[in-house]
Amino acid sequence: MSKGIVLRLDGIKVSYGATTVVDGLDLAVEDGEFVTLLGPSGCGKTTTLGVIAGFLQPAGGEVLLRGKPLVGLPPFRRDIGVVFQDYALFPHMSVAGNVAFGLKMRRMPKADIERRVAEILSLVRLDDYAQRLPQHLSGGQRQRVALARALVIRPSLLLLDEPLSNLDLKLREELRLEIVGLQRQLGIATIFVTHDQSEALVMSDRIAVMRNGRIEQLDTPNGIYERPASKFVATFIGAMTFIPASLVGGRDRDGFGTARTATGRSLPVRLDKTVSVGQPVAIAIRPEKARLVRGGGGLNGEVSLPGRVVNVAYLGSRQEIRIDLEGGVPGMVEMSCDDGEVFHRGEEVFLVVDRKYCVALPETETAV
Amino acid sequence: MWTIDGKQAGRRVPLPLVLIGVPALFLLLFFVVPNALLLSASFLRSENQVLTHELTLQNFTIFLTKKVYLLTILRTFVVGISVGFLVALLSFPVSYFLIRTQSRFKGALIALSLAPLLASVVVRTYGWYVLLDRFGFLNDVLMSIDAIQQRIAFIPSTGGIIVGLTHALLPYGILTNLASLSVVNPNIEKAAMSLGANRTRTFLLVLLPNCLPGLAASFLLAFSISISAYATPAILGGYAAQTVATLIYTFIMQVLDWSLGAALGAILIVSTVVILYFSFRFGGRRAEL
Amino acid sequence: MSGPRPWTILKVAVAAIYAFMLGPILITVIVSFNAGTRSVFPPEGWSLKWWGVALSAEWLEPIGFSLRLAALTAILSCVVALPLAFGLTRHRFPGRNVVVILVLGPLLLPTLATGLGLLRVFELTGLIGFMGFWTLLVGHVVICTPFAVRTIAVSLHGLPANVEAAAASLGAGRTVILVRIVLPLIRNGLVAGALFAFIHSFTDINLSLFLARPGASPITVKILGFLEFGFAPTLAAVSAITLVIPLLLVLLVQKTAKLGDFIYGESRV
Repeated sequence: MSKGIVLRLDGIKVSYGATTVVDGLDLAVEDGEFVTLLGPSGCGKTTTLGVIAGFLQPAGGEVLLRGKPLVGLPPFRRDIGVVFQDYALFPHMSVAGNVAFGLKMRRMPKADIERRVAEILSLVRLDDYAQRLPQHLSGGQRQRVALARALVIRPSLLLLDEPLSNLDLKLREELRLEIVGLQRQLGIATIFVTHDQSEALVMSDRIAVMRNGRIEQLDTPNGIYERPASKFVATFIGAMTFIPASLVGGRDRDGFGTARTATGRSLPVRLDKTVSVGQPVAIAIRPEKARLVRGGGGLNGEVSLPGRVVNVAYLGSRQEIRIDLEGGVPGMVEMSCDDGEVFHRGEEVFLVVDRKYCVALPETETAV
Repeated sequence: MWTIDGKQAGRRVPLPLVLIGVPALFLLLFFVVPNALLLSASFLRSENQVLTHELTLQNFTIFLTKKVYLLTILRTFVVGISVGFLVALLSFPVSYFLIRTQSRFKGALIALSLAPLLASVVVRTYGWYVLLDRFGFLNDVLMSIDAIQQRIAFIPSTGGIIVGLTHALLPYGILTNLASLSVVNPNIEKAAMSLGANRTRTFLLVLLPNCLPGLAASFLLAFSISISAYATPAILGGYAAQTVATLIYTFIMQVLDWSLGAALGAILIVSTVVILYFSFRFGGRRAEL
Repeated sequence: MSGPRPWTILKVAVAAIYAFMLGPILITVIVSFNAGTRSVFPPEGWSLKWWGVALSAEWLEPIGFSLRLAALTAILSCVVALPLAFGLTRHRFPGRNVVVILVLGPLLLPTLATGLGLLRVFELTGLIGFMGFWTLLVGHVVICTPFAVRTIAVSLHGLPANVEAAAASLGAGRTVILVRIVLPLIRNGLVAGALFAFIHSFTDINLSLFLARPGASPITVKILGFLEFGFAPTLAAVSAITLVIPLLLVLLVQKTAKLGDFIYGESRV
C-alpha cells in the first residue's frame, strides 16, 4: 500500500434483502484529499458513507483506514469524524458541550479539552456561542458546530453527508468555501456526499460519479466535465447536447472517428472511450463550446449543423439558446452577449463547433 | 390565514365567547362545582350522617391520628410511587423498541401494546386474581416444582395491587414515552458513537437525558392514576390492603359519612394537582398533555 | 465482541414485557371456558356453558345499557368538544389558559372525586330520585369531552393553511365552508374523538361507581359487584365480552380513519 493513502475501499457490496445497493465499490482517498461522491438519490453514496463510518455492515469487501481493517469494528472504535445532513447536535448540551464530547470520550485532560474547543470554535467563528443551546442557533450555525465537533477530534478521515442540503442557496455557497478552507487548513482527508453537481465541481480534488451502486467515473472536476466517460456522467454534470448517431469510421491517428447521424450526416467525432464501428453513440457537445451563426459555414476543423431557434433565455452576460437540430434533436448553445448578436425564435441557424468538442460516448440509454 | 370564525365585523358578541361560553358553562356546572363541593365538604362536620354547616379540621386530623387511616394513606402513596417507577422503567424499553424497529409489524406491535386500554380494569385485574390467588396458577406452579411447601396468599396484598396497577398502566407509559421519543433525532446516537462513545455511554450521556421528560411524565401519570384507582385495589387488595380510594367507597357508600369521604377525596384532588404542577415545570410546554 | 448484541437483549426484554401485558388478559378469556364452577388456570375441562349464561338477558341487559350510554356519550362529547376546540385553537383571548385547564381538568383530576362530587350535587339539588341513565350520561360526557377536544384540536391544527380563504374567494359562505370544507377535513379528529370517548365511557368504573343505581348500572360496576361474591367463570366470560366490543370497534374504525396521528406527537390545544 503506497504511503499517503488514508482510506481504501475494496469491492464493497451492500444489500438490503434482495436488492444490491452498493455493488463492488473501489476507492482510495489520499492524505489531505477532498473526494466527493456525487450522484442521484438512491445511487448508494450515503450507504457507502454508512459502511465507512461503521453504521452499516457490508455484505462483502474491505474497508482499510491507514491499512487497518475496519469491517466488524463498531463506530466508536473508528477514528472517523461524521457530519450528518441534519447535523444531529445533542439538544441537551451547549455548543461547547457538543464540541467537547468527542474529546471527553478520548479522556483528554480537562484543560486540554477547553483549549481545543476554544481553538476550533474560533476557527468556525462561533467563539461567542459556546454556551448556547442548539435550538437557539440558526441552520448555518448548527452546521458549523457539527463541523467543529467532528474536526476537533482530529480524525484520520472526515465524512460529510449532504451537510448543505438543508440550507438556502446563499448560505450553501458561503459554507461551501468555508468547509473547503477548513479542510485545506487542517489537511484532513475528506469524503463529501452530495447530489449537487456545482458543489462537487467547486469543492473537490476528485469526484466519484455514482450510479446504481457503482462508480461510473472517478476523476478531477476538470476531467469529469471535459472528458465524461459516459452519457450518464455527461448528463449529470452541466448541460449537454446529445446527437444520436452510429459510428461508421474507426479511430484515426489523431483519435478521431466518423459518426453518421440519423439524418445521414457524417461528422468527425473525438473517441476517448473505446467504441466499435457500428455501435450506437451519442455525440456530446457542451453548450459553451459551440456557437450559432447565420448562413452556415465555419472554420477548418469545425462541424456545422443546421437547426431552428426554439427559445432564447437572456441571462445578463450570456444567452442560453435552445435549438431544434435536424431530426428533431434538441440542442443548447451558450454564447456571450457582447457582440450584440441577438437571435430570435424560429430563426434558421447553424450550430458550429470544433470537432475536438464533439465527443462520441457509448449510447447506453434506450429510447427516450 | 382567514378562517370562518375569524374576526367578524359588526358582531356584537365576540364569536370566541359564544363558542366557548356554552360548553364551558356545562363543564363549570358539572365538573368545577362538584369538585369544589367536595373540597368544601371536607371541612364540614358530619352529624348522624348528615353534613352540617360547621367548619372543622377534624376530618383531616382523624386521618393523621388514627393509625389505621395513616397506614392506608401511606400505603396509597407507596403504591403510587412504586407503580410510577415500574411503569416508567418497563414502558421505556418498549417505546424505544417500537420507535426504532424497522419491522413490518411495527404498526401491529404498537396497536398490540395499546390494546389493553380497551379492556376495563376489571378484565385486566381478573387475570391477576387467577394468577396470584392462594389456589391460583402461580401457587400451582411453585408447588409442583417444590419451591414452596405451603400455598402462599400472594393476594390480597399491597404487592398484588402494585403488580396489578403496573400492568394496567403500562400502556399509558408506553404512549407517553412514544410521544417523547418521537421527537428525538435518531442520528444523535450515531453521532455519539462516531465520536467514540460506546453503547452504554451513548445511552447514558446522550439518549437518556433527552428522554427524561418522557420518563418523568410517565412516572407522574402512573402515579396520579394509581393513587385514585379503585377497582384494582378493591380486587387485589381487599380488606387487608386498603387504599384511599377503597376507603372513600366505604365511607360514602357504606358508612354514609360524607365528611370523612370528602376529606379523603380532597386529599386525592390536592395530591393530583401538586403532581400536575410538577409535570408542568418538568416538561415545560409539552406537558399540556 | 462477546455476549448477545444489545438489540437482541432489548428484543427479549420487550417480548417479556409484552407477555406481562397481554398474559393476564388472555388468562381471563381462557378461564371463561372452565367446565367446573371455579375460575382456574389452566381450566379443568372445557365448556361453553358460562358463555351461555353470559349471553343471557341477565348480562346482556347491562351490556346494552353500557353500549347505549357509551354511544350517546361519544356523540354528545363531540358536540360539546367541537365549539371548544374551534374556540381554543383559533383565538387568543384573555383567560384562555383558564379554559384550557377547565377543558383538560376532567382528564387530569381523579374521576373518583368528580363522581363523588356529582353525587353530592345531585343530592343537594334533589335530583337524587331521578338518578340513573341521565345522571350517568352527564358524568360520562364531562370526563370524555377532553378526549374529543384534543383529537379535534389536532385535526384543526392540521388543516391546510388557506383552504377556508380559498373557498371564500370562490364564493362560499361561512356555513357552506363549515359543512363542506372544514368538517370533512377534520373528520379524522371527530371520529377518533368519538371512538376514544366511547371506549373511555364503556370501560369507566371510578365515576360510574358512585352514580350507578340498581337497574341503571353499567356493566363494569355490575361485574365488580358480583366479584365480591366470588370469581365465577361467568364473570370471566362477561369480562371477555366487554373486551371484544371495543376491540371490534377499533378494528372497524381504523379502516376509515387514521388513528395513528393521535398517538404520537404534540397534542396542543
